[in-house]
Amino acid sequence: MSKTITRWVIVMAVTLTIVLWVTHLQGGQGERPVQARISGSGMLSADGFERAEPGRVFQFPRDHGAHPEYQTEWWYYTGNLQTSEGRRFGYQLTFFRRALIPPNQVRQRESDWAASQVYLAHFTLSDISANEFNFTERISRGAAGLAGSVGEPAYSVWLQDWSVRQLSDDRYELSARDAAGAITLGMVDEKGPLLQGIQGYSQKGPQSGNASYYYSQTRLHSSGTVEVNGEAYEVDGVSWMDHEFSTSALAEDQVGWDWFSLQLDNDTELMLYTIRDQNGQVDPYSQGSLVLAGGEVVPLSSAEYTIEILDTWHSPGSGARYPAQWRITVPSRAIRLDIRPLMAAQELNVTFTYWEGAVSVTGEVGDVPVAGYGYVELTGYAHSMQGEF
Amino acid sequence: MLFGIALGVAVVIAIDLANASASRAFEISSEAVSGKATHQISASALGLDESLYIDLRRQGIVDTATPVITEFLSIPQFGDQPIQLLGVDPFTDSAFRDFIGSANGELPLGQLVSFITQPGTVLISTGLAERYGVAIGDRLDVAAGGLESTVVVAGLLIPADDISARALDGMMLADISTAQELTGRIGKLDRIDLILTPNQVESVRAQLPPGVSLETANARQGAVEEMTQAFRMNLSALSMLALIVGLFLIYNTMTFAVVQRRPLFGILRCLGVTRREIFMMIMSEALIIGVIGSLIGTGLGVLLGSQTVRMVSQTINDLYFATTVQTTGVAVSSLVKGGVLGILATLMAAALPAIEAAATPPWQVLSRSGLERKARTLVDRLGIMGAVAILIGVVLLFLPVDNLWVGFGATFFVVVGFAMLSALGMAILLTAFVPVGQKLFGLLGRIAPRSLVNSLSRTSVAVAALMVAVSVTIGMTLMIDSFRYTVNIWLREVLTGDVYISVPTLNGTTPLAPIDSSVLPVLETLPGVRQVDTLRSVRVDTRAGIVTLSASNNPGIGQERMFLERYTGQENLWAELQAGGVLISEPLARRMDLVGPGNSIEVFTPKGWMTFPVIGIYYDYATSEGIILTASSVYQRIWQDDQVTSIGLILEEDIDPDLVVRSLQDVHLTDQRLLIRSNQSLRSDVLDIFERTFAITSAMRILATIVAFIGILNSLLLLQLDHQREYGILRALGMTGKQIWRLVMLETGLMGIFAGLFAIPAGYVVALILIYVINQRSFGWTIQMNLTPAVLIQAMGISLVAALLAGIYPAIHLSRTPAAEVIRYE
Repeated sequence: MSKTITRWVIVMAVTLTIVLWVTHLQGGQGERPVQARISGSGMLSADGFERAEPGRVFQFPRDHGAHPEYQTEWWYYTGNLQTSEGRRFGYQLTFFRRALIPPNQVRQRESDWAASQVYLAHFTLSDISANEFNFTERISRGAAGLAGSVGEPAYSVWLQDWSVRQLSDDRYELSARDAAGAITLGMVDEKGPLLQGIQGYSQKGPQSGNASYYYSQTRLHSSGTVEVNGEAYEVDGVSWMDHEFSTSALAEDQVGWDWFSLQLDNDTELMLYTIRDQNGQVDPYSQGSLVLAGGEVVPLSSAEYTIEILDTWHSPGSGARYPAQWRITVPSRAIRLDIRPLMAAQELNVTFTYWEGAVSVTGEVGDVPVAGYGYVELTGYAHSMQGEF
Repeated sequence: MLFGIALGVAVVIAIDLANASASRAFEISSEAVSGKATHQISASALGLDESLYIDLRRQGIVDTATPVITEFLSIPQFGDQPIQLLGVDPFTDSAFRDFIGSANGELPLGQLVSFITQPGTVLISTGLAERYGVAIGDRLDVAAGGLESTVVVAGLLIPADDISARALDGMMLADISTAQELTGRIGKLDRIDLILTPNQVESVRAQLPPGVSLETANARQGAVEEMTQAFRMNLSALSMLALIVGLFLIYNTMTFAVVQRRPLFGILRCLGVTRREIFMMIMSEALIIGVIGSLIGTGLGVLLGSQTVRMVSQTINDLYFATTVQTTGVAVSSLVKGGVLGILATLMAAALPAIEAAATPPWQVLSRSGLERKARTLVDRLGIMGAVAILIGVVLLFLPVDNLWVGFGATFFVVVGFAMLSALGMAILLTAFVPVGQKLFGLLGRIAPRSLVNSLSRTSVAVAALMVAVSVTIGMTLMIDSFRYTVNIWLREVLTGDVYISVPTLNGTTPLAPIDSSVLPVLETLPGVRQVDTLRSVRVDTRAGIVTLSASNNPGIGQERMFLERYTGQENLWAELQAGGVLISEPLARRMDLVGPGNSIEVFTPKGWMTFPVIGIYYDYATSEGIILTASSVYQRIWQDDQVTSIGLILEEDIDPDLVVRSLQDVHLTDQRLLIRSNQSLRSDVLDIFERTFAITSAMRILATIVAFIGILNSLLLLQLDHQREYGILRALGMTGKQIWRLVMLETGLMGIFAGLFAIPAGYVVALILIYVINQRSFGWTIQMNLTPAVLIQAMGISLVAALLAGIYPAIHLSRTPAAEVIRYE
């Protein structure tokens, strides 16, 4: 008899345990995040923005700053640096601006946070000897002082704590930091802003308006510190700055570009780009320029140079196949250069995927051997750049 | 019997559903709002300066951080439902919440152009849009803290799953710029959400100015959750009381069923059926009944649940925070829990009679007198056990443990103790009643009580069960009545102004939105106004979570509060308040253990943590969260804020407050929407909230009463039918049909009266426990016990009416049936 009761008690206890356990399980299921996607109104449209037309008169430092009447704008800083022991670093600090609406549609608002501009920035550090490449992307509204760019009284562009600011007429300070590393450089512009294309007007496609305003600072002598993995290095080297603004520069069938900025040890710099269409054909609007030692800019049309791809690299990250070694010839100037990436893996997998990396240059001008460093940007290999920044 | 189980289970399930839903709603909405943040930066009371965020960003001190503004909006197009406005920065928010940026971090900029660039643009969920027929581009009128504006729906949030849909249902998303403009908080943020690694915490904290705190995201929610937990536990415990009532009825019925079949069991035993088989037989019956009853109860519980969910969430809205999550679905766990509880309770209740039946030797089973003999010795023993149980209950009550379940355990013991005593009480009282009965009703008056005493085994169980049922209803009724009574007195003392002005709130909580500064000067010069009292209420951090701090400019504030304790003379009160002392409300004092002289309370101010001496503790039933009361001068000095959130006008003797209210409503004081109420209407509004708060308790009381009523009816009916043969013999001996009628009525009536009688002291004790232990522990409120005779009359009424009703059928049946028929055996 007591056995029976015991059995009953056990059955009840077991049932109760199971119930409590089930209840407990149920209670723990609330960990899923709340998720949604947006179906919104409004579209990014080029309507209402100005288009790049020939004949613009540049004024500095004002034109270093942002031009909100154009839809997109970027400030590209790249550079090759080395320590006194010869340890090499490459860096990229780029600011992109995208206007959501043209200035004449911007309403007066009480809040400082009211925004019509979006800023995006990329920061990369290539630690060549360690074969380490780190990149970080940041995005912010261009409002409330979080991000922006001004030309006057002195130029600066910033996104949170990443910034480039003008210290005096030809001196600049660049600084950026992410989880992997940091950079602080003082830069001296040795050649001044140099207008690319036709007086800074750079035609990118057949239609008028498929163009941008484009100028460069091709030789910014840079010195400062690079910090990687908690270790700080005194560095010295040369940086290159490109500033470009436009409203829909790429024509419809253009998918990407290969862009070269090479700084040679004979005090000349070479900038070249090729725009590719969907079939991989090089667009005739591709162009370049040679900056002579004295600062004279010699424009180069696409017919004046050839870029031969000698090798490719397959990115394990994005699956894209990038050119990875080039031979560039400019017959009119007797230039023959071999370009090699200082390391293969310099792909940024961010809002849009592209390869931007430090390269070394060897070759001859006439019979004189030259060497140098530079940066190469390869876009549109992972996906088309249409509609991107 | 089925009904008893079903109703008991139904009540437990309904309450559990409501609790689960409330807790889930809180969880979902807080998750939607706070997302994946590990830490939050917030400021005391008045919001953060936005420059703090920008500085932290520009200096690169924080990496994963996002600004947030939250506010509850009222939107007439969306009915009474409060809508949570969440102001975010879409560019940094995706690390925290998965509804603006997609999970992979990509921002659908194209979809957000209007949202980011255009003023007054918001996103709402597809669910909300569909329910109210709102489409992209439609306009909505919104009010935030009395500030009215129009917004345009710039897009819809398409929830990824069901839970997201519920979370987003009461939400409106705006860009941080829009949120600042809608709430009038230009230059301010409510908080900064952060994801920090442990070693980042101190470096961020080092950058914060005084008056700004960095806390873990859980700490903040935990405090709110804890507040509501006491409330929810209180409800579950009350629902358990309902189940206990059900349990007693089951026990009664099962005992009855066993007792009735004793001869059958005896015969079975004689035929060789083992004890084990008898036990199993009864338990199997109980199991079947339990399962069926629980199933019915589960269905009933779900039906009731839809009501209780609404009531509980309303109460939580009134007392704690606005919840925007309306539905959370039926929690299967609640159903399972309730169902199994019902089955187990039935089995437990059946176990005693089953053991009894199985353990008794066959010869004794067959003899009824054996049973009754046993019963009478048992009655004495039961009486002793009852006294012991009551003692245990009392001891439990005085244990220094701050646990509600201990309180309910004590209640249980006391009630059971009384139930056990009731048999003894009945035996004594019935014997004493015999001469009285004879005087009143003659022979029948003698037969009835004796007959009841002679069948104590059944009658005492029935009376005990009835007593338990009735006492629980008495206890609950007394508690609610006392509470209402207390709140009424309190309101009369506290509301001394004639006209009150504040910004309308979305729930019953203290108004926190400042009144337009242009209003006060107008009121001060209004003819007929003798005195203008202002109150500034803000939310401040204490070591026990966020509470309301109210600053008063009224030197007579001491006369307008009822004090639990005061550590200074009435005449010094205002001077001490101005010197930095504070008064705190009773719930806060209890929660923080600050009752007694010489205590102080720490408050996080713009100058950092500051300590304020507590100079008094006053009764307050407006919020169970607690209030700190300070002098305006002190508040203004520390917070640098001279806004007010509510204004009370005291008028000259001969001025009609209603006229003033109407004229103020007619004049356009400000663009802000204001609530202008007379003392009368404010009082009735507060009482309305009170009624809503106790709606669920009242509902449970009614359910318990129904269970009790049906129980009485049921068990007395069975009892009388069981007595059939005796009545038959009495008929055969010459009693008339009319006399049988009277005898039956007398017997049931006596049982009803005794049940009611015993229920009164038990109910009173239950009420005492509910009021002084349970309520005080779960809400922190002291309630004045208000014993009205109406409650007791009602209890007696229920028992008596049910008892007499129960007598009708057997009486008719017996008086009509020929005696031979009735006594014919098998």
